Amino acid sequence: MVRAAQQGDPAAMEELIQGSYRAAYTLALRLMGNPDDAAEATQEAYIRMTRGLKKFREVGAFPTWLFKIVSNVCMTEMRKRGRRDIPTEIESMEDPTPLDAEDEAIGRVFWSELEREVAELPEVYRSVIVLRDVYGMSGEETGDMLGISPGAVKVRLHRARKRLRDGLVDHFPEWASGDDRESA
Amino acid sequence: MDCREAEHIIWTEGPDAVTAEHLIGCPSCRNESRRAADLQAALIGMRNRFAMPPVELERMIVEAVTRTRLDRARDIVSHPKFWRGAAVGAAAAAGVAGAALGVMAARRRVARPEVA
Repeated sequence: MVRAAQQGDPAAMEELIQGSYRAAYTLALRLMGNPDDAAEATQEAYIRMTRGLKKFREVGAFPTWLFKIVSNVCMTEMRKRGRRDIPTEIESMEDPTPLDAEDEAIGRVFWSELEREVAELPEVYRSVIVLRDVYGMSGEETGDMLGISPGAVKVRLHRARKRLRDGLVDHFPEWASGDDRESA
Repeated sequence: MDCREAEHIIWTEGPDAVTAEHLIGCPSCRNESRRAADLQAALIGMRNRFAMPPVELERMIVEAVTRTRLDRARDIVSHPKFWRGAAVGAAAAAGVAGAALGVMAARRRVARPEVA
């Protein structure tokens, strides 16, 4: 599909968009925290993707490439606007279907709480957690994207994870105690 | 390795980075490591959970992308380089066609000398 889109097939391009735009939008929403900004950034990312598609060689790595473009657009836009902490409006997240056993075990409540905790992190921490831990970018890639050193990524990551941990411990004391598994 | 050091490693490098030796003897760090592993798995799981985009977003993206492609095609066609290239291409094609006709005529002469 990527190859056909590269060769200018409009149907393939539409299919490519259809199969990826929700993931791209979700990443933008997680970074920017506002649906309108996220939608705008997603559109801009696809325009940039179209411009660079012909030169793109690693066809199998398309989602990763697209995520990098989306992240770049979001970070540039956020820097331009000088935003720091922004209100987040992530209201609904759709579970992948069918839910696997692990998802069910962790539970819907946990997911929505986690989503909320991530959304409420200060932007400097949220961007690191989203890029590094959620979307699996390397420390170097994350640093490049945010314009900080890999060392600074590590420091922010540590603080962000601890904040998430503390937030979740407040809401799930049984998870904090760990008695369930220790005694099992 | 003391517990403070272990905890720092767990939340910076990941739950697997702490030595098993320390975890075996320390229930508190074992729990912390388990919490970090849970969190790590949950964060990875977030990648497969999608927000609901605005209903018109897909259409808007397709339109924007189509516009971009048309603009690019228009830019290419309106650029003098394109026409220089086209002229060179046309000249080259004419040359090749002329050469091919010459070869064909020569072959015909060889095959039917009476025509010549």
